[in-house]
Amino acid sequence: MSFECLPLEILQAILDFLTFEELLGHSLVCRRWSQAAASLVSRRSWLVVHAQRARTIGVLQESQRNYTNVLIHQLNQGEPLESVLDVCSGKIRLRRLKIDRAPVDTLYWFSQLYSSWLEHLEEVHISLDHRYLKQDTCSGKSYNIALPKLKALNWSENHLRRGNRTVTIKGPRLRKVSVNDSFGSKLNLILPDCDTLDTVECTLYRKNFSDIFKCSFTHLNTLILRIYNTVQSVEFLTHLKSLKRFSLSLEYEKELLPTLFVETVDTICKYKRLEALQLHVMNNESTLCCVSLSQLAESLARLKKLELNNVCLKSTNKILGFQQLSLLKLTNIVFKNGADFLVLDYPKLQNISVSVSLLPKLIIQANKANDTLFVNLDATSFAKAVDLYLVQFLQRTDHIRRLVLFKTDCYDTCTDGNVPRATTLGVESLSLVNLNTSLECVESVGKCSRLKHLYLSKCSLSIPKDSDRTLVLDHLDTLDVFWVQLDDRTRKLFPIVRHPDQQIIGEEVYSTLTVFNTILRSTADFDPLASIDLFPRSGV
Amino acid sequence: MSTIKLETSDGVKFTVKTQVAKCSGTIRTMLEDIGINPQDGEAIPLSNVHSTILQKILVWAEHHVDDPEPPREDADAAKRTDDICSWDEDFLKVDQRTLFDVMLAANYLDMKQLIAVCCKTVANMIKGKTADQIRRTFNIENDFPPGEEDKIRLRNQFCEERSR
Repeated sequence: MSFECLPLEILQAILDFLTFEELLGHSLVCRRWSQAAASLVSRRSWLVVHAQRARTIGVLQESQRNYTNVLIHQLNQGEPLESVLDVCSGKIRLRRLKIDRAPVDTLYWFSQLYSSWLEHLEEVHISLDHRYLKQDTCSGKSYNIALPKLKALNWSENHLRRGNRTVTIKGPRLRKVSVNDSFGSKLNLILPDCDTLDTVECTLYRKNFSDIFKCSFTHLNTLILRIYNTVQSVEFLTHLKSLKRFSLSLEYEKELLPTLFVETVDTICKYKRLEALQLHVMNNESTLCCVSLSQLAESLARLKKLELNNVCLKSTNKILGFQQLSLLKLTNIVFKNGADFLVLDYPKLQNISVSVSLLPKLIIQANKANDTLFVNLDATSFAKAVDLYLVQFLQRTDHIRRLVLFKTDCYDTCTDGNVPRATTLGVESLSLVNLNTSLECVESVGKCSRLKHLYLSKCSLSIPKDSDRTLVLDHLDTLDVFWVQLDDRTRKLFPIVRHPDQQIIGEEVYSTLTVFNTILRSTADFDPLASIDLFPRSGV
Repeated sequence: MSTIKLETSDGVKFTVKTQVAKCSGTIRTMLEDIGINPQDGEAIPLSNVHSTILQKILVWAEHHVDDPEPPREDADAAKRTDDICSWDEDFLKVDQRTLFDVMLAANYLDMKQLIAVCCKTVANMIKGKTADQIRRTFNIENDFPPGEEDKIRLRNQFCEERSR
């Protein structure tokens, strides 16, 4: 009694739990497994097509697999790619298409020649790229592509230099769109009549949001918008009232900043369905961008997640409202009134993330759920953050049990070599993420007997030269290490352990010792910052 | 509390709480759509399930009877196998034959959650093994005609993983 008795669909369900690599390997067990794996392979992969395939096209012609997803690598006009595409279009009922390195003119040629093949397309990724063109010769011709069944479009441009023209994609059923503008692009993209849009993510350098989308936005739930050209009008925001999740990063035209910012906040306050809001002003004058927390709390009753970056806060004392707020993230915040304190007393507030310099002005009232605090160290060194801010704050906020100290990227260069004086943070769980720190620093905060869980993630750790000392933290219940790098290539063993017999072995990578993952819970994707990420897995 | 009777392939009759029996989509359909009346006292025949296996499955159903409806899975979402609850893990620590029997019966009885957890368990058994190791572990014959394996390898080379 073994696999031979299982119906094919159960065998398939089992194989679908494998990674893609495993799936390919396991398709070689026997004919039945190969049969079961075939449709999974087709569904979970792109069939990669490029000009060099012309020589081995027979394999594809013979194949019994029902491919639906095709990746065309480097779209070139004419032979030999054309004969490969002819075989594909005759054999494959296309649902998903990805085109890499497509010149604008070639995309037109392709969309005309294979228009009937594209009729059933549900998802398309187009990456326009002129870096590989010997001569950037563009006809400048504008054109339309009709994709009647299309649900998802991922449009990105790389180094488009010329070609002042308009590409119109008619996809009346589009639900998800992602647009990545190119820095010097003179190409216009228009998406008309896509009134069923649900999710949009745009990074814009030159294009305007309202020039691209010619539709009603009545079903738009999620919008992630990063605008890197200076904004002169926020009129487009008035059409987005159905939004549930909104992330806006932008830089205003300097002279218009105070007016446009007030207009932005007032308009957003009319989004009555809003549950997640991320607002990041990229201008340097944060004092001119005043947000009243009580205005947000009164207007946005459903708000669950709020992130403000580079703005100025007013009305920060005890605010009624924010009944649903569970995540609050504040970065680069200043106060309108220097004497103000920020009092967080919201019933459902669970995860709080603040810059370390905000701590002296922060008062967190305990509720049932908020025992975790995320602190962004910004440009403050570890020792200074602990001695100057954290010890004091945690003494007066003693319901905090779990502390996550992090920087936003891995390039932490702020080390002054100092070691914190303090040894008692008083928390049970401490996570250090993206920090450049030293063994002595970890020791100073790790020795505290109340600490039960220590977690180091994506940190680099300097250790005393010519010393084999190992730090034993035997009061800990768990010690987790994930991608931590030592500056000493001669050591093979990680210098922090839970008991004297434990050995955490690293690997040498680029002449440093790296411990990749000691987490036994087999959560390879475990990210301590995931719970303060407002828009995880964004995009199409 | 209402109960119904089930009769297995080897003629053993079980009296089961109706609510527990309804963990099986097959039995639920019989009761609700086809309108078999459990008050008649007549046992529902489960001709494909042996009593030892049904007994085991009823233990599982009893434990999970109040589970909330699982969220509908996205076919494209990455599938995890490390989230089996410890109770299920212990429950499925059985010999290979029993595991496959449970899986077959769960399939016949249309118990999606039980099938899923069995599939995960089996997936964990075949993860990290080569095709050859799998053939030896599970006694599977390599029945490819000559040359066919190379063709599959070549075909596989045409494929690139699509991020889920």
